[in-house]
Amino acid sequence: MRDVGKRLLQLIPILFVITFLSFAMMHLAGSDAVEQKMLNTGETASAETVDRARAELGLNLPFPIQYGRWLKGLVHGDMGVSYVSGKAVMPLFFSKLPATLLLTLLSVLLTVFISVPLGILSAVYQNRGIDLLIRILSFIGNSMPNFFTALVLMYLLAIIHPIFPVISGDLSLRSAALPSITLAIAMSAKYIRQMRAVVLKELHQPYVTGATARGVRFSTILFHSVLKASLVTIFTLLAMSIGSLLGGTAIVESIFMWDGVGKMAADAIRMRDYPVIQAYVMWMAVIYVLVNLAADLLNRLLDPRIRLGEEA
Amino acid sequence: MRRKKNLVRLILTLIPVTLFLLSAMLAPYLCPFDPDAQDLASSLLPPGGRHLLGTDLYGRDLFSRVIAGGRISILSTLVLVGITALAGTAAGVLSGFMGGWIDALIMRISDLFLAFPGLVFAMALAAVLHGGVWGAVVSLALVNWPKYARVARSETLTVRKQTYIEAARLSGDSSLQLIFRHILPNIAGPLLVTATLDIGTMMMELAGLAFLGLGAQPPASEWGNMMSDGRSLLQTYPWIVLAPGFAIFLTVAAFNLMGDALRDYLDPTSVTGKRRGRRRKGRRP
Repeated sequence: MRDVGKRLLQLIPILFVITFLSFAMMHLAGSDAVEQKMLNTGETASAETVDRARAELGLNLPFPIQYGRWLKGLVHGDMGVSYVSGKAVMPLFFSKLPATLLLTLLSVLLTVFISVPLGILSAVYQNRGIDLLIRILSFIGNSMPNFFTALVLMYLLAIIHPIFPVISGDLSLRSAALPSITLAIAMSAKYIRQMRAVVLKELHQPYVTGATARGVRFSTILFHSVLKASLVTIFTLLAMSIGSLLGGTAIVESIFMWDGVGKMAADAIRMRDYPVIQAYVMWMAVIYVLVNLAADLLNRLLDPRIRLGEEA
Repeated sequence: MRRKKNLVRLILTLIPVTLFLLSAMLAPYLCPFDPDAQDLASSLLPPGGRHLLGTDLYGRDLFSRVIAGGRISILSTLVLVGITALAGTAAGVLSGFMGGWIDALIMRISDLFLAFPGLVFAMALAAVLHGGVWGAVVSLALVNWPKYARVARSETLTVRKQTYIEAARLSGDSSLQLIFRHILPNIAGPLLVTATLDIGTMMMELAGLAFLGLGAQPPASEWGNMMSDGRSLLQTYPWIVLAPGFAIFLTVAAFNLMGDALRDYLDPTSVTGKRRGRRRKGRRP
């Protein structure tokens, strides 16, 4: 347990490095928020107006100083204001978070409900009709880019049969359905394969043969031993996808106009809105550390071999 | 016997891949219309008739645009996977062969890259590199090389311990000779499999960047930005989105099939679905 504190302390240098690098990278881009804003609105301002706007935002200062100013604000709990909307970044970021959390929760639940049973079914009935069907479906899911899945679902379930709204404007389950299904299809396609492979591997272990020989019922072996042994793999995978989902899925969120952090990041990158990008980058670093920590702890809890190895 | 069957399967999966590659290379000769020529009189025609897949808002022939788009999408994907695999392998072999601080440095850098969700990082890089297909290619390569570095490093570590490497070193081979003559040929298999299985994913990510406006730019016909163009017309003219969409899907599927077949051929121990060992009977309660 002492590890947990140590791991959380590691977060601090990671945050430093990552925010500095992203600051540096955005400055190398050579175009800034003022320029992008003018491009977007199509207005032409005089050189003086542009300079004034830059000076107001502090964009004319050398970038280590800009970074220092941003860092000083951060220590005081102030993440600056968005260059584009002029709103404070911290509340802006937290207002986008619920949408992404909801989408993450729903799509992970859907993925588990789809991929765990189908993966087991596929492994138990290896090479029979049902296995082939499941494998073909997962192959198709693996070969569909998620923006294509999103548009096909939108066409079928929102336009031809208007069951769900085309634009997910609010945080209702109906609005969340299409984006969650889109994400769940892509993830399930991957996890069915993994689940199947893990269960197959376990089914070929000597202990299964032993238990069968002793007359233990197959369902008991499957649900008590095999499934338990497969959990480590599943949880590690899930932890990783939860991590990337919490980062927001820029494409899917943009297509459905789902107002989450992924769409926020995509918009901020397009507009060179540094303070918003910084907030996002910090969020990603926090998720990365926490998810890895959670995955390690879970593994230690679930797999006695890892636990013993640590103590020995 | 199994290996022979896998070889036949690999050859069969090469057929669709070859067809897609040929259509990418011969695209200029295969297009029935100029893919960029606008003809407002025949805009938004449904599929069928003179225009096999219909036309878009500007009356451009979608079939020609899908073929021309394939040229950009497929060729840029292959270049992307090629440079990613080369850079990653170089870093990984160096890391595994040299060990010590070089190893530590390369691995920490790759950790840093792996820490970020790939596509968002690539989006930021592509924005920095000011768009364009090649900007997208470079940013995805920067994001994805650590995967190859990992594989190359762990394979190098295994190979390096073999006695024949020791023998070669004793007989006076230099480090470079060791790497090129003895290590690279022996780690090529897993890297080739990784690269082949990566083609589909990379194609989808390149198209994804273009879809967000961070890849190939609008007048060019590229599958991702064709879909992004047609998005607003999905309700009434769905074929504008469906044509390039299915093109991506079919191409990715073809490359994935080949990747799976290649993996089974080179590494028959992996579990994909082929029957292994004896068949258990009476397992159902």
